[in-house]
Amino acid sequence: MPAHTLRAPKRQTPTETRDPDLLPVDQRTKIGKRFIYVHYESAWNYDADHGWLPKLSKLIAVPGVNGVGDDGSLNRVINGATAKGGTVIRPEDKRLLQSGEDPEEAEFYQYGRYYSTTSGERWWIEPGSEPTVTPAGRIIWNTAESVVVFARFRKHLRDSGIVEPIHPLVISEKTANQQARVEDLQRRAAINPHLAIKLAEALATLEAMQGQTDLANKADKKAGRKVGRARRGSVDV
Amino acid sequence: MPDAATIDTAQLISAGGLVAEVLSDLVLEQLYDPTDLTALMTFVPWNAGGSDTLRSTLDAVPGAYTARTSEIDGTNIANAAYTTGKFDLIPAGYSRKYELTDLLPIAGGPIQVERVAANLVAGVGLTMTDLLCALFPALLNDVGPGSGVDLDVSSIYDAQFQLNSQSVTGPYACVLHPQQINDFQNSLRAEAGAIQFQAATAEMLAARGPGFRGSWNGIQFFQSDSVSKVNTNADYAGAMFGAGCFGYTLADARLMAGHIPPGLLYLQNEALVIEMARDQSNFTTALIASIFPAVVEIEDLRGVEIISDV
Repeated sequence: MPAHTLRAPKRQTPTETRDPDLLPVDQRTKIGKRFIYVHYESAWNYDADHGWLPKLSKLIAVPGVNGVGDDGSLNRVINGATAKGGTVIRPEDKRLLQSGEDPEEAEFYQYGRYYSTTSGERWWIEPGSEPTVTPAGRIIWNTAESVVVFARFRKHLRDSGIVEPIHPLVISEKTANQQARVEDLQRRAAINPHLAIKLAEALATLEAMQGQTDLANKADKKAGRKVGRARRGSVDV
Repeated sequence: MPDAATIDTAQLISAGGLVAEVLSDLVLEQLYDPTDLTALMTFVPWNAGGSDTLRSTLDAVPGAYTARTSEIDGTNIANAAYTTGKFDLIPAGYSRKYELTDLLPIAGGPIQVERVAANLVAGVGLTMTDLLCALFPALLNDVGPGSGVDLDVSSIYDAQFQLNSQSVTGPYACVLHPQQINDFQNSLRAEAGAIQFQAATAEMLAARGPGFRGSWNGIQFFQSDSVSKVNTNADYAGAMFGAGCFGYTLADARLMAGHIPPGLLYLQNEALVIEMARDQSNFTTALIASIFPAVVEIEDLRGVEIISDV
C-alpha cells in the first residue's frame, strides 16, 4: 500500500456508547464477505435503461471455500473461474476508472471496499451500497439507489471493454427465453389473473429486447453480414 | 395499608431474608437459525499425507462406441481422449473460544463448562452451512424472476428445467433464504393448478434437520439465513442442485491433539477438538474448539443459482 494520509478523525459524543462509524453486528448478523466479481460469457440480462448488461457472479473469499486458504488468497478460485471461461473483474484494472477520475476518489476503481464493524470484522460492500444505522442498531441499505449505481457499474464494464461484448447468438438465446416466459405467462394468466401485470412487464421487456435485436440486425446489414436465420443457434454442451 | 410491624417481601429483600431473584434451572435457547446443511454435500474423507491440499479426481465421461466401417480395417477407430477432471479441498482452521472465570462454578448456575462445550459443538454445523452458502454466488448458471422481484413458481421450474437440461439426476435440493421460501410459498398460494407444497413433518425434520422446509415437485427445500445477498443487497442468492455439485471434507482434528497436553483435552473426535487453556494468573479457563473444514464446487453444472428479491 502506498503512503497515504488518514482522513479527518472520527467524532463521537461522550454520551454515545457505540462508535457511530462502526456497523453494529451481533451473532445473527451475516456480514458481507470479501469478494471479487467474475463474468461468464452467457451471463447477460436486459436493463430498460442501459440495454444488455453483464450479469456478475461473486467469488467470495472465505477460507476453506473453493480453495481459499487461511490467508484469504483468491488465486485458486480465480484460476477456477478462468478455467470455466470467466472474465475476472480485477479491482485494480485501470479501465475501471471513468474519464478524468482521480483513482483516490474513483467510483468503481478498486471496488472492493468495506465498513468496519463493532465485532472488528470488515463488512465488504458492492458498488453503490451505503448503510444507514437506526438508533436501535438496525442496518438499512440504500438498495433503491445502489441498484442504479450497480447498473452503471455493469454498463461501464461493458462499454470499457473489460468484458467481451454480448454475442448476437446470446441475444437470440435470451430473447427466445423471454419469449418462452411470455408464452408461459400467457397460458397461466387466464386462470391466474394476478399474473396480468407480470405478463405486461414481460411483454414490454421482450419488445425492448426485440427492438435492440432489430437495431443490431440493421447494423449487420449495413456492414454486409448475414442476418436472419444465420443468427439463430442452439447450444451444445 | 400494612402497619410498621407487617413483614413484607420488599422489606426482607432489603434487610435480609429474601433475595430479589432466584435462578431457574431451566435454560432456553435464544432465537437462531440452527440449519446444518452438511448432508447436502458429498463427503470426501481426509487422507492427505504430506500436503494441506486434498485432490480428488473426476473420471472421464464414458462415450458411445464408434461403428467399424470395415470388417478387416480398424483405422477409423481412433484413440478416444480420456479427459479426467479434478477438484481440490484445502481445509482452513476455524475456531471459537469462550473464557470462563473461576467464580462461575463457585457461584453455581446452569452456565457451566459442559453447557459451553455443547454450545461449541453446535457451532460446527453452522460453520458448514455458512461455507456451503458462500459457494452459491459463484455458480455459472442462474435463474430468477429478475433482480428486485419476489421469487415465484416459474423460477423454481426454470431451475429444475435447467438442471434437467444438464442431465443432473434428482432428487434436487433447493437452499433458499427464509424470505425466498416465503415468496415462493406466496407465489404457490396464488397459483391455480400448481402442485401442492408438502410441508415438513416432524418425522422429516428428524431425518433431515431443522433447515428442511418440505418438498414440492420432487424438490427438497431447505432454508438458511446464511444465504448471501447479491446485487448490492437487492437480492438473495439461493441455489438448486443435484448430488455431487458440492463437496466437503473435515480434516481429522484429532491429528492435532498430539500437540495438546492430555489433561487439557476436553473433547476430541474426527471433526472437532475442544481444548482447555488455563490462565492461572488471570483466574480464567478458556474452552477453545477447532475444526478444519473445506468446501468446494465439485461440478458447477450440477447446480443453478436462484436470484430473487430480499
